Amino acid sequence: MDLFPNAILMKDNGIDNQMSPKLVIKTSGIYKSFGKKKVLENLSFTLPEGKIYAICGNNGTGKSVFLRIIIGLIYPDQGEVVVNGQVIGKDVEFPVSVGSLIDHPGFLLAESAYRNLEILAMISGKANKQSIQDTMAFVGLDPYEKKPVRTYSVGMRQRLGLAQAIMEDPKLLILDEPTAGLDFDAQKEIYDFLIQLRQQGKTILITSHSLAEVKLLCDKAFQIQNKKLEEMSDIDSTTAER
Amino acid sequence: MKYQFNNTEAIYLQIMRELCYQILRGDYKAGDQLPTWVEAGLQFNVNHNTIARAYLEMSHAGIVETRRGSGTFVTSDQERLNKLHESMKKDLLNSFVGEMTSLGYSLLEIAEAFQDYLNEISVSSMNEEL
Repeated sequence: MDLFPNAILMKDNGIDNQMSPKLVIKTSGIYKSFGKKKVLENLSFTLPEGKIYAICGNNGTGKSVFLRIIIGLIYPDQGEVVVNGQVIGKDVEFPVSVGSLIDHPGFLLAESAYRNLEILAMISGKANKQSIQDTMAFVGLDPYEKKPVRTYSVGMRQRLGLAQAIMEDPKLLILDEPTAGLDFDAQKEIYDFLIQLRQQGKTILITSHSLAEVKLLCDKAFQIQNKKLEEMSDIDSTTAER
Repeated sequence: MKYQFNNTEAIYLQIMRELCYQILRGDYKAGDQLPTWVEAGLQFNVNHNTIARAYLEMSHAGIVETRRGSGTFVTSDQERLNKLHESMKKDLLNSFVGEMTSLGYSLLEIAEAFQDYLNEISVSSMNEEL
């Protein structure tokens, strides 16, 4: 394009190396029923690291169930989940280096945000005062705020939820509807955080109802329809370069 | 604003062109901050990486500069913006003349047709004022 005669048209490098992408999540043939009700049939996908992915689908299609299976909270009836090279339920019970936000985290409503994170850090032993403060700063919460979490708005609780998920610097983040219930400005902030986390090299898997959100954030997206997993072909972060 | 992309040119290039138009029209002045990746991504309904790519190429061309932690800003270098104006003008003329010649018009015919057209629109705009 003559408009930009000196533009150096750069090629992608690093993480987008097609030759040997490191797989963060691999599921093969996941089936799940609750009683007689079949929820998931033959769900298989592989997610290379360092990107943002979404699973979409109407309410009740099993998105959250699938997420819980990946994290090891529920066992599938059939099939295998491998996270960072480890088989869930065999090599490890729960995947390591994963931060998650599913449903409402059990915050201690009478305590401050900092205290909540501090207690979690004590349990896991993986975060210290500095990393808690840094994490809170990242999500825009004041570490010195004494007000109890009970007084927090939905948006602030969501930020705290995100903080607890990223506090131990996990390589993989699994977030169920991370912008649910948030106003537009709060949503944009969460988008900003997720994009920054992707730039840090983290892999992020979310569920979403919003096509605009998925288009903005995701390198790839999948849909659960009729209990099966399909790739959403119009979500592909590389198409803009062709 | 729902922007329509053509499918002959890479999307990030189309976005670059649209942003340059906006800058040259004065929607963003020298030193102004351009929308964040999130805002622009939502506006154009594209992935944030596409915006990042467009901004990156624009910064290579010296039209914008990205300040880590702050965002992307239109250059304060008025010289550079004047050059962009010139490039834009050339780009549009190239398009126009290219299309006309592919329809079979000679350069002389193009020049005459263009002059007639300019005369027409200046007459009709004078009539509007009356």
